[in-house]
Amino acid sequence: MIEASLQLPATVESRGYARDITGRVMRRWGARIGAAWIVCLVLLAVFAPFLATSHPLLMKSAGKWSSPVLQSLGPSDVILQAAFWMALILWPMRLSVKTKVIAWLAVLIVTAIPSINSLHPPQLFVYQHYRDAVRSGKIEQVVFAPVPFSPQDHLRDQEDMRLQPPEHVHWMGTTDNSADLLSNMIHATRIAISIGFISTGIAAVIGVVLGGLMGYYGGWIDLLGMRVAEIFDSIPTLLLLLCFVAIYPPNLYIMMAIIGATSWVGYAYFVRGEFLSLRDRDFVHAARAAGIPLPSIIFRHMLLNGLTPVIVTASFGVASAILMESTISFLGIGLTDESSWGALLEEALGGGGTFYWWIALYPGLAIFLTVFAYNLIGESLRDALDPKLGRMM
Amino acid sequence: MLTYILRRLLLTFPTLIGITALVFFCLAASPGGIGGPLLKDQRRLDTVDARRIQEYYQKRYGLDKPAIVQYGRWLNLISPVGFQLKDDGTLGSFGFKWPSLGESMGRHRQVASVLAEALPLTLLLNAISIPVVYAFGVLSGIGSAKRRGQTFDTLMGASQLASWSIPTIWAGVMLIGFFANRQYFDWFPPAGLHETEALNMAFLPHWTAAGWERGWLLDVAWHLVLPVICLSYGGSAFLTKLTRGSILENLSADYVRTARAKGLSESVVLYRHVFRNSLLALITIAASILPALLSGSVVVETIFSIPGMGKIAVEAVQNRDRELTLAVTLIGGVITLLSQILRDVLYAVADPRVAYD
Amino acid sequence: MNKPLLEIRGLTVAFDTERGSAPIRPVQDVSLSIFPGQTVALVGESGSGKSVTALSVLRLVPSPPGRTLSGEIMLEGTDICRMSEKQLQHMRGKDIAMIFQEPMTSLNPVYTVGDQILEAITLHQKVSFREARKIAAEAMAAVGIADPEERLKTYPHQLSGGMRQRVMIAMALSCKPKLLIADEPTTALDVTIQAQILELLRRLQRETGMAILLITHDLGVVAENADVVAVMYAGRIVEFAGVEELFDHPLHPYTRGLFAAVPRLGQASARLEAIPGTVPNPANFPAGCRFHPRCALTQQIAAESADAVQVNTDHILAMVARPCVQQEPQLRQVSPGHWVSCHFADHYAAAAASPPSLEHRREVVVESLAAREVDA
Repeated sequence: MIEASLQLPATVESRGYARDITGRVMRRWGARIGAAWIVCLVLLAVFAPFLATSHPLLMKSAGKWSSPVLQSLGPSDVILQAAFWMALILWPMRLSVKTKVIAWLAVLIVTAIPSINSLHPPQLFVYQHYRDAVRSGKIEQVVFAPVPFSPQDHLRDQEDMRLQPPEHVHWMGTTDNSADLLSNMIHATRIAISIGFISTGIAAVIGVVLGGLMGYYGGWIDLLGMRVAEIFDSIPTLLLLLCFVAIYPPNLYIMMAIIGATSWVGYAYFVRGEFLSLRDRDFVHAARAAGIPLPSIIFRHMLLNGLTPVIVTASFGVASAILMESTISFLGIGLTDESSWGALLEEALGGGGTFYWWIALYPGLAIFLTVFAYNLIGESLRDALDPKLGRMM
Repeated sequence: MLTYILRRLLLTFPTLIGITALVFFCLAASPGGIGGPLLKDQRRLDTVDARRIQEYYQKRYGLDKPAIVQYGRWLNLISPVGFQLKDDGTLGSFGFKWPSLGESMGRHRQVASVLAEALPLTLLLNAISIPVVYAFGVLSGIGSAKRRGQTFDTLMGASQLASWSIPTIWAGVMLIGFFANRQYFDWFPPAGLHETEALNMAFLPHWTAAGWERGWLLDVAWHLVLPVICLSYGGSAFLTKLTRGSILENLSADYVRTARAKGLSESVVLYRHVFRNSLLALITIAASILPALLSGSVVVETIFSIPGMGKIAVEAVQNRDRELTLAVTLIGGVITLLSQILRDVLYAVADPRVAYD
Repeated sequence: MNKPLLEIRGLTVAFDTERGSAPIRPVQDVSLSIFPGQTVALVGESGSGKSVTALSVLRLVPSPPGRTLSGEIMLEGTDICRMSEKQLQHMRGKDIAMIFQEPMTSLNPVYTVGDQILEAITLHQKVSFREARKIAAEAMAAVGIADPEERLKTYPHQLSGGMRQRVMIAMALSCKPKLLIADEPTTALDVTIQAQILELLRRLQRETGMAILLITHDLGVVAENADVVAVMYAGRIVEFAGVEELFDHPLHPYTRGLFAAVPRLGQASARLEAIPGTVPNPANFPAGCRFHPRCALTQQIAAESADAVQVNTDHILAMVARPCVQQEPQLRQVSPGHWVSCHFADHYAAAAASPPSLEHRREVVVESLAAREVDA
């Protein structure tokens, strides 16, 4: 008699699950293109102070070599460098995810504290000094950055470089206040990336926490929470953003918090729905009857199930956060000290009907490609995580 | 059903109060407070005059009162039951009164008249965009589903996500820059909804001694082409994907197999059976298209210089114009909530399995 | 001898799988005949290919993954496999009707039951709307639904499972088809309702003289309802006989295993006798006879003779008789009215391969057949 051999299903670790999902997502060409673009942007953002700056990378003056660019770095530049290199070093290492995250955060904090205290790059700088010095010979040898213009460099040593179309010195032309467009675009990458991730992170945290509370406790917490969610859901987002922005002077971090505070509702609905349906499932009752503590039930069983729509929503959420920030900046209400892509786009239509096509094309293309990249990743995530869609495509 | 609708309508009131309160207290908490920018504007005048103007504003609009009192006064203003407001600003007797939207601080006009000019423009823009979005989205979605896997479908799929990702600001700027510009194709007007001459034109196009005259109707239509494109491309792309997905999902349903087994032709199966079920998904999404269009209107109206609700809203918030902002918020909230109720009612009508008590 | 109503000859269906993998064949070289007024039961486990066979008769197999590789399905002289789309639509519902396993999802939830029956009627019969409504109400009454006029206005979700299946039957029978294909019509229903539905089908068959192709995995249902039985395993028909003959003398080891697995009252045993192993994956059918990895007979013969081969199935080694591995058996008529495909069935070697065709009925339904000839 042949007996069928029994095979026990292999237990799935959560890390294995994450890796499996990543594998399935990355197999799709859409996700690959999107991820490639995001990686490019991250590289641009991290290395912006070295890629696009009027400060020479290396300079020999009066016989001595110096690196002005290093002296011009601010705390955020240094922290970003530390974060990037630490992540690169930690990634291939064979440690648990928790250890790696803790190590990374530790290095960040260790870098952040002294740099915030000690690094004070000058706020105003006369950029044309370098070019004058090179012309007059005071600087003997110099190595400039690939894009030798800072975003704030208004080219005061050259006559009327406002709104010049692209040519070989300024690869993307110049803006309304004679700044190099490419340099502004590279530095604006930071805003795009950080707004995207951080505001979506804030929105997701708020949404998941509130949704979880509503779904788990039910009762009047749920009623109250749903009314609040409905209020946030019914105001046209842009209007709400405008109102919040009115409260505080526009600042990158405030902006992130504000965008986060206006987009949490979707996450809350998903998590609440998941918790409500799971609450009465048999396995939750069984777990409680077995004496498993409540937070453990919530985190290990309920949250993990409910996270998949949150992840998909988050990817689309990053795209929409970037769109919102661009729109607000375009309307002139957003960040004022640093230019973001949206703010740059606003200058494209000049008075009297002139159209500066390079100012319209490049910033707009950048926003579009970034949003498209996140949408592609979101789509691939949804296809990979949602079993119902399966082979439908 | 009727009780359900009534109950939903009643529930909108606390939500509307919540919405307007939220917006109001944001304005109140901003630096400068309500009406701040208007008061600050007086910097150029000397102090005595500036202070007199400030006092005038404060007395007229009650800006010196605490925020909650100001909000309460506004609620009183818009409610049909409340205290009558006497000319000097004090409260009169309690009873029925005409609700009013108040007076705009920034424009020194009745809010109602400001909105009466702006609202029709926004409604016109949206009223044309919604059918465009639906017609284009549904038709191309069905076409895609029918030709699944073929070139048409792949092309539509690739372009649909891309279209959805194009920022409205970019689309608007590029459209104006290339198609409404003397430098490139000068096919469309760059701004506004009418040319000034159009106000004198007859309604319909006709011939005059000087040649063919466009007429007011065509003139407006011509001005609307670019804004409508700008407003509807994103929604169409989204609807295409939604329709396609819903139809494909329903095409593999059991009842489709039954329908085919009865001997129905493919097109009858598609339109009478599959599409009717896909309609449910389309209705569900309808409620979120309208608020999205309203948000989009803000951008489109700004870019194309159309003096609609969106533009009014931005200006009102920037000026912290209390009455105007609250009125715009109220209307926006009402439209959103009503569209949600409408969606639920339509859903109940379309799906016999759904019944409200 | 009457001519068969439906003849399936050598039907082979393939399903394309994901890119890179070979297509699978859930139905291989299936032949079958159905005579007017006859109930043919198609028995098998899940995965045996019986549903795909049934769907193929009406060409309802979803076409992107599935396609008919070879074979003919002759309906009164016309090959269904070569019919045009229009002919197909004309035939479906009118000459051959089908009812499915899941009555809830098989009815469109957004239309009333009446609308759906009327759709079937107006499609195939040129009648006025009022007449169509009358026919619909009559069909509903015929299947035992009380208050049919009112019921026409209900929606599927307002009916119970048994009622829905009755509606499906009414819809299928409204155009008086010659053949009704019933794909596990009672599997999703309670046992008591099951009995009612089957009784209903028998009654309708007596009244209309239609033939029934009954797909089922339940031998009890077969015993009560079938005239002729075809047993399917792994895409092939392995045995075909009249119902009494099959139940008295099952010849194929698989059929014997099925009967042995049915628990009998009064039988004292500690374990149920299951057929060891599982149904093979269509992507990976065994070589030779598809049943040999699970067959007790071939192992017994291998133990007795020297002509044995060792096979490794699911990491389990066994000795089986050589012919079972090397040669796929054909369906041969080993005794009058009894076909089997097993190398070691009695008289197998001498018999000739032929498509199974048996005009056998338990009850004689002469009157309804005569009535049919008048109608036709």
